[in-house]
Amino acid sequence: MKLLRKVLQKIEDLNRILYYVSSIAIVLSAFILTYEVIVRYILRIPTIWEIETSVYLTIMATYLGAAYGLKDGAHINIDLIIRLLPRGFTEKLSLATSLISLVFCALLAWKGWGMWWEATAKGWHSESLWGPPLTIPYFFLPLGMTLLSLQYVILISDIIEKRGGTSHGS
Amino acid sequence: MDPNILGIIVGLVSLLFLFSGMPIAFALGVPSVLFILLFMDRHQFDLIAHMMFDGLNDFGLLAIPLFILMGAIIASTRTGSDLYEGMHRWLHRLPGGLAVSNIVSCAIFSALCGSSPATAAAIGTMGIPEMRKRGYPDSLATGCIVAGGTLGILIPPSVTMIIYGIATQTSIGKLFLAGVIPGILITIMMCIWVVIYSQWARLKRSRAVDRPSAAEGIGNEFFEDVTFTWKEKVSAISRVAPFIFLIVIIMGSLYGGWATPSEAAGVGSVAALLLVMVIYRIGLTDYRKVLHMTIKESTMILMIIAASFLFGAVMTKLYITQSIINAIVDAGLSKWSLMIMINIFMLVLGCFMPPVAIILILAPILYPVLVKYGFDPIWFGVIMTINMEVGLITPPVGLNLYVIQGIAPDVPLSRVLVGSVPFVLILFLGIVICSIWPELTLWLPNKMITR
Repeated sequence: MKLLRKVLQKIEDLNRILYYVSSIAIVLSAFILTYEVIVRYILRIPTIWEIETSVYLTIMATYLGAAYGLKDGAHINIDLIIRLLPRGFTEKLSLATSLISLVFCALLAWKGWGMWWEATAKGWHSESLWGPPLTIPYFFLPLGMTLLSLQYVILISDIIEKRGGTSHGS
Repeated sequence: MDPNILGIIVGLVSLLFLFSGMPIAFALGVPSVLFILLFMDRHQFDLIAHMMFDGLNDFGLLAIPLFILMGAIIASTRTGSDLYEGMHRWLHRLPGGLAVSNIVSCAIFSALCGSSPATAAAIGTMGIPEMRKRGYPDSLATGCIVAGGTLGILIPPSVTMIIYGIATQTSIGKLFLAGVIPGILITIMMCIWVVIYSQWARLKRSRAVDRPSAAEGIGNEFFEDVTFTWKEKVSAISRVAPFIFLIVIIMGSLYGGWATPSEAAGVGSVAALLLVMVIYRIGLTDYRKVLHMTIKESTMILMIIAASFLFGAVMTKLYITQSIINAIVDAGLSKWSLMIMINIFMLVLGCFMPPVAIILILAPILYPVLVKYGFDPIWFGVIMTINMEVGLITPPVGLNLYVIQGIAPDVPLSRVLVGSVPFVLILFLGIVICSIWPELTLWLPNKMITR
């Protein structure tokens, strides 16, 4: 149990690092687009890789950032009803909704790895002129969802342990 | 199964998940997967990851994280307080001058920031304590920031309009330009209200000189004039000038058709970053804060968008979207009674749900209906945005109210609401005016140079 706790702590640390890596990816895509604008509109040279790369960077930021976003309270929820419910019930409810969310993320991760493996094994390429292999952009969704599932495991174990944890998102 | 009955079941189940306190992204994703498993073949289930991926594989969406980044960079500086201080030096002669300055600052900041709570926070953090210190009534001080902040999504850039544009396949650049004139109009109406209210308060006080209790709790500076020298006035401009320049670049490139909104957002954030590096020289912790704000907002909104893409695909494949559209069209309402119904429905939803979720769920359903009835989708984007603004300042789920409670926790919510009621009425008036004169929204985008 103690070892498991340690492993989970390491995963949370990793997720926090990826959180900041993700935000740097957004900054990077801003620079790539600035470069693209200069090249295309001022130097009048057609661009090939810039737009697609920045889209993939954003996809990476979304899915890899989602995991620590859960810990950070990024994913907003509608707490209108649950604020009115008795405390004991909200705890059980948040346990239930976290478990359901965990199942959803795990399903997405499972199907996502399938999608990634298919693209990798069959050597799929993007349909654009530049045509990068899809194994790279497809990698972020399953990885992010796997990490998010693990972050949910941490959240759920916290709720069970403390029995006083607040509902997620707030 | 009959799509109508199925639609009702799907709707109820989705609402159940949404109100269960689950993050909105998963509350949209879970019922989608559930209904795929229940009513569709296995092949569709294998595609859920593809659908989530495709939902984000769109260049237009990049404008969201990039405008968030730009807003975060600018919010990390003293720009907010520089803005209203600068405005105050020019507008102080008006009754309620500081409140007017705060509203105008919100409007200018809105031109750099696409989110309402962020605008309210950027101006209000310094603005509310300053107004209260100088004796402005709490209700006016908080009310004008709550309301001024909502301009963030009407005056471009606007996260709400980007989402609407993507959900309905309308031009985001045109939507942005359509928000400019209504945004300025509503700003002016808000300022006029503040002037009228302050003048009225002054008159009331001058009549009740013998009874000081009449103006109880209101300090002196609310009534007295302050003066500034020309030197002070000019230095105020020079401090704000770089950001005005930034606004001109962004709006100019959109209007001139030199850049798509996503490209404008990218260039804008890099320019903002350079400005901040050169002029404000923010520290390492501030950069960290910028990164944190950017990723927190971005991953939240983009996850909701990805999940709503899945949700939308399921609704379409089960013919639920189409049957709702048919039901609305078959109801045979007249053009404007339909529009009034839609507005009331959105206002009610706005009390309970954040704008992102409302637009992503409603826009794909409403869009075909509106087109069938001959409404302009660009015009409706503006109407919907003003509508969402009302939702941001009405309880129980008003994001701007939470921001104000964070800035001034000792002002009771009831005082904030009293102060914001007139501004809500102004927003209603804005919807009415834009409905009577749609040219106000459509003139500028039609002038836009398209390529």
